[in-house]
Amino acid sequence: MPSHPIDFDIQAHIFSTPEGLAIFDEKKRFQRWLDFEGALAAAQGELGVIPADAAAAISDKASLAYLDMESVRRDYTTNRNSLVPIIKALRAACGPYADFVHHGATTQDVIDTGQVLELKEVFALIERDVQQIIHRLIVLASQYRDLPMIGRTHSQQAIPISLGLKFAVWLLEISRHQDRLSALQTRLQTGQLGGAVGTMAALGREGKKVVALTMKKLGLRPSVAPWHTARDTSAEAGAFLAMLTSTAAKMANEIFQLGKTEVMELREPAPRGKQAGSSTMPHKRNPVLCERIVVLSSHVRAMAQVLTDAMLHENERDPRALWSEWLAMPQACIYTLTALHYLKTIITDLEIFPERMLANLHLHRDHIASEWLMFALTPILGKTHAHAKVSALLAQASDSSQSLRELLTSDPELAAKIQAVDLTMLEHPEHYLGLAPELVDDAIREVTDKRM
Amino acid sequence: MSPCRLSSHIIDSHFFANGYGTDEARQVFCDYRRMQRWLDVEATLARCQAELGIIPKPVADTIIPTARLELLDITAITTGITTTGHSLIPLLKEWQRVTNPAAGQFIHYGATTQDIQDTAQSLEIKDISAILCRDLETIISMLAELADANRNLVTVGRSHGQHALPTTMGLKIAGWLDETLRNHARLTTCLPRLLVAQLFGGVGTMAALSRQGLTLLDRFASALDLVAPLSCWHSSRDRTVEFVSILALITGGLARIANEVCQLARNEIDEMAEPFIFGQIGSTTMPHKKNPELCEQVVVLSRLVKGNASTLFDSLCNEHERDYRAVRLEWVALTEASIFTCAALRMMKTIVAGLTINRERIKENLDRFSVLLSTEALMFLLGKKIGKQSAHSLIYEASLGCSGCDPDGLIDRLMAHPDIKQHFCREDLEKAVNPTLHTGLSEEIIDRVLAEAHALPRSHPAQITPCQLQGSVLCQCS
Repeated sequence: MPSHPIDFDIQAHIFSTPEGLAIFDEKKRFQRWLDFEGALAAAQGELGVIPADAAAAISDKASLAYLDMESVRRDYTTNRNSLVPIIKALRAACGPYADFVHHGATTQDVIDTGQVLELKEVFALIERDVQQIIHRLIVLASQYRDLPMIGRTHSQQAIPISLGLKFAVWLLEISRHQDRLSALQTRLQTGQLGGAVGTMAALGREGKKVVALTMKKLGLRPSVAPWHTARDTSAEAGAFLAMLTSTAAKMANEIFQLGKTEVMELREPAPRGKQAGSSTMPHKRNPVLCERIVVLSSHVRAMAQVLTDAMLHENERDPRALWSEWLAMPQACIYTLTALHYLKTIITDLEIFPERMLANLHLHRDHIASEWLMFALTPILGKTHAHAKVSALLAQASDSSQSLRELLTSDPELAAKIQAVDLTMLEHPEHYLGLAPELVDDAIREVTDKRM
Repeated sequence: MSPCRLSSHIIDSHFFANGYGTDEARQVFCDYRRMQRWLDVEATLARCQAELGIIPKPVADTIIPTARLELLDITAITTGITTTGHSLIPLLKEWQRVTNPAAGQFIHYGATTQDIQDTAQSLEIKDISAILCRDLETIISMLAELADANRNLVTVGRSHGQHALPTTMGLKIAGWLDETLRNHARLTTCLPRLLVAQLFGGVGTMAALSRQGLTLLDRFASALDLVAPLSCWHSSRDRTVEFVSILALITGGLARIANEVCQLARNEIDEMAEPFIFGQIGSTTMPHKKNPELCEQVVVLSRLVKGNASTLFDSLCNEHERDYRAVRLEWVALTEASIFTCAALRMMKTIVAGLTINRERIKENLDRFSVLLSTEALMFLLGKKIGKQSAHSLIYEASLGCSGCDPDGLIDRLMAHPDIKQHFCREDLEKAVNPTLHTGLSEEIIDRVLAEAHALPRSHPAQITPCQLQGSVLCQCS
């Protein structure tokens, strides 16, 4: 009875990916908690805090396979603690060693560490996806380094760019996310073990060693002091996911905008097989993946907000703040993985229409050349006068049927002086690319050097 | 040249304030007016208390005429706020100083600070609402006229950013109008709930307001033309949140219109343009640029208002009987949201008044892609003979290879199919793809919305409390 779009069975994997779902699978989460208990017992055994045979038994039984899941399910209907039913079942499985289970830890130690283990898996996938996206953008930027298209500001045509430059700007942004990701990884992979109020009171004299060894066994860093109420790293992870998906959404929206019927310069790849875009308009081919990414990013930003609100913990522990992470973090991660999956699909087979780009660029050819013309006239007229002159000429050109060239060459003020100026750019503003191709090279070089 | 006033918020910017507010709205929240409004509320309280015999009448007669900001030492109030950290006491102290000391003992008698400030805030909301109603009604009239004038102008309907089916410009505008009508209704229906006084004392028990507290509240509220609430709302801020949510809905609706104009103004589409005033400069370096900056600014303002609304939702969770952490959020968020909304409305009036609708381009875009726009109509036509689902697949396949710019391509492809050829002649298909024949019930829908707009009861001209400081040295209102 899946009721959340993340879990839908029939419309599966529209707001999720199989990989993302597998990480947050309920049983896998339980197993991570058990891994924690197993590692804790093993560490305590090695350090002589609990008997070695107890440690061995607990590590051995710390697996869902040994637990009576029916009784766990039953317990959760009556017990309001989020961990106790699992511990109880583990204790039952450990027989005479039951007393040594979960020795000196608090519920939040287990669940926080479980979350860190989840995030470690999630962020490994994100790292993989980000790398693939970077790789693809390098190819695209280099391939379209010199392909002219119109640049737009305020949604109006401005002057030409190269498509490669657009890709290069995306590339650098994603590459910065990769830097952020590496910086975040170390902070993120820090486990939690501090006991009820973070004093390690019940962990005994060897508390700090227990913590270090337990985390080592789990492949995490120990924390200098407990962070039950210091949720900055969770909030940072949320902010990172929000930024990453927002970049994805920016790219997706750009493809959406440039794929509008009248523009049609870029288009997301068609779905495989025969699929209708609309039930009632047989011709429609909709940029659905781009739209989904925009929607997902909006949710991730909302989740990031929740994760930031969760920083306001009171006293030594505060479930009101903590529990909002439990809902927000899985969603933010699953949505991000989904958005990245779509983005990879889109940019892998992105449709690019150079002819439409050129046609659109030539739509208002005179206007598009206006900056070039202003600078061409600046040595003759001075920049301010040149700006005014070009504006006037443009107005004249749009009122008459004369081209800019005709107006220029017949202008009493300019005709003589302009003879030496090569006016080809007026008819071919697509050559007015500035340093765009070089900037593409620089961007690729910067990103490639960093990756070496 | 006016001197530097150390104002750093863009709302108060000497240079850019117009992009973020209107003089009218700024005046409602003017710092000086606000202090005077608090004095007015206090004076009203004293008058009502005297009428009920709670304080001696001669006392009221003495203190009320001195409740004038221009009689007080502004510097002393400013310093007092810094040193005491209290927002109201320094003002009251100054008032006390200039009035008869014995009578001054009866100032702020039994009220709590928040009673005065919340009541004054309701008065601010009342003034802002008057502006909002007036502007929404103006926009409603303008949109109604525009929808009517363009009822037959067939244009491309788009979904997923792609051409979908024909529609009319009138219907598009009627959609804007319908939403604006709903926002107008939201605003007017919430006001009786919102415009309430506050007078309940320290923790809402009226303990210091005498046995006649409830009678006093009624009298006080009605003297200020506000409603008397059932119980105190010091820590119950749903009303303010509701108001700012409505501001977010209003600006969100305006932003939708503004963004649509922006999108339809793209050079490749070029069906609409916001008014361009000669002399306006789009770009320092690209002399040709005509940017839809008003439309863009409306979108910016709506995002800011949404941010304020979102902030104010945090003010709902209050602790105990009063919780300043909520109220202080309102001082910023309500003020900003109100001023931004007034600016967005003013801009929208300008945009709608001077909106260019480019009929030629609309027709061109329609003709260029007319075949693809009519696939639904084609599907129903072909469906009559070969079944609707089969028609869907056939047209889907035929239109895949069709660029959209080739009006005959699809018809050629379809006519080449034996099933189609058997049942239809080319003329049937051509007729089916004429977009002007496929605007459905657009006109009837427009008429329904127009009827609603015409039936809208007009509120009286906006009645905004005049500045009580006018004529004094403190007032610099134009």
